[in-house]
Amino acid sequence: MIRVRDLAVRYPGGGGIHGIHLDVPSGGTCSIIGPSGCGKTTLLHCLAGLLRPDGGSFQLGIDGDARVGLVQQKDALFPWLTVEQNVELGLRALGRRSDGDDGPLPAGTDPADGILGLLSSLGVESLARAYPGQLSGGERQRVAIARTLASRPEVLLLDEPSSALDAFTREALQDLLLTLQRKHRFTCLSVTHHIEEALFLAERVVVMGRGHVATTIDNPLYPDAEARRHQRFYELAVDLRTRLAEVMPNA
Amino acid sequence: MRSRILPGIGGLAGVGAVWWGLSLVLGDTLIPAPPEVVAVLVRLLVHGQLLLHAGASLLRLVAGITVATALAIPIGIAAGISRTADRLVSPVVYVLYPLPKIAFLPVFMVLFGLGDLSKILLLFSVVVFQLILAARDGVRGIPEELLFAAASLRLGRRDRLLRLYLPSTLPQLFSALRISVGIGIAVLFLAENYATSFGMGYFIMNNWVMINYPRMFAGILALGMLAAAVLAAIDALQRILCPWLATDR
Repeated sequence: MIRVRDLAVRYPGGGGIHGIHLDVPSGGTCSIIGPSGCGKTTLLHCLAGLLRPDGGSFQLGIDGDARVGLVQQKDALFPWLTVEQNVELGLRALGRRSDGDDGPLPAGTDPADGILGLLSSLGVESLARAYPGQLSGGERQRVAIARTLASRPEVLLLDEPSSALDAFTREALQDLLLTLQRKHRFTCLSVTHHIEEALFLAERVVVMGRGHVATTIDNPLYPDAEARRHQRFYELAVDLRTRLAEVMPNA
Repeated sequence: MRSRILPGIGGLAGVGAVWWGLSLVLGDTLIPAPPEVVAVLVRLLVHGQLLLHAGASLLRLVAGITVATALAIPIGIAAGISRTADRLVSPVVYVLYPLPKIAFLPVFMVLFGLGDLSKILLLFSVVVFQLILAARDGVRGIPEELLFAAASLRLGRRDRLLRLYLPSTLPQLFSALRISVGIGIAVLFLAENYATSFGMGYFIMNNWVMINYPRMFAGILALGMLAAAVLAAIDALQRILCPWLATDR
């Protein structure tokens, strides 16, 4: 689960986020959408531990110590490591303590099986020995997801994971993410610029504007893999577009 | 393979043609023709005389570069990671890096003797600052998303060093190394004119003084081949240590 209370991050030049309240139940899904600079990524980086908040609090997991995985906008694979070496880093994070030292892997975790199994489930097992520079954008993002999933996250944070992809690859990645979420039941918070993606990937969509939560929309179609074919999906998209237009800087 | 070798041979043939042309225009007393120089070079190599000089220069060069690299990588990476280390290291490097190191050869000789050590340390001083800056800038240039990835994967100190900082500096280190080797050989050439009777610098300048231009030119040719071999070895090492660079789309 994710619980955010009155969270604030202030930047020296202005901007940031303030008064953010958010609740995502365990195994729940939430998308955040909003115009550029509204603070979506700031919120995500805060939850990922990459930014220190200036005010408020947040809790990830019931005990506040959930394993957190982050998939970034750019794939962020280490270019000098092969695909399997990149994923191995994620697997090793599983046994890594918060101080960064490696602890023992959980019982029953076979590194080789884990890596190949994950790559196979994401359809990129044939690329295990390749370097990221040899992969397409879609393949790189799949490997980045495999690396994150290797650490068995209880909370998965997605920062515009499909923004660098073409339309077809983007839809394929959205289908994959939906399948993975249903299979692994991790709590998922995704930040996106795409209205359809926001709806497809989450049961609740939060609209942000100028550093705060403007409104939320519940999506009764989630987790329907065929949602894009429904008339209701496009009605929700229109509703979301209208609410988004209200928070655009030039509205 | 053939398409890679042919342009190289063509380029060298072009240099040879210019050399030969100059020899014809200025006379072969001042600039001996390439066939004569090559014949002298082969003779010197067969007799092993030139190998001793080349070996002495290579030893000094490799020793200076190795020590400089071993010291520059940790210092540069530390300066790239830590602001405190950077404040300590960068001002020193900025002051010492541009100084003409050859001017300090007498000081090195007084401090470290007339033997190889002073020449190795001179070479070290030529190479080390450039490598420190390359390592520092390599770490500073790591994209933010990779730093975020390292943080979200909770990489420990050892993993950060071996899987993030060190590989990210390698391409810049190799570039700096190639540039420094050229400067290093030029400095070594001058340094080998003092208090030694072995080294390519000594061999070339000794034959210049003796007005034995074919041998002098054979020495220059051999020095060029030595530099090319060192640079080719650096290229080969880069291919081994940075295999991902050869695969980028």
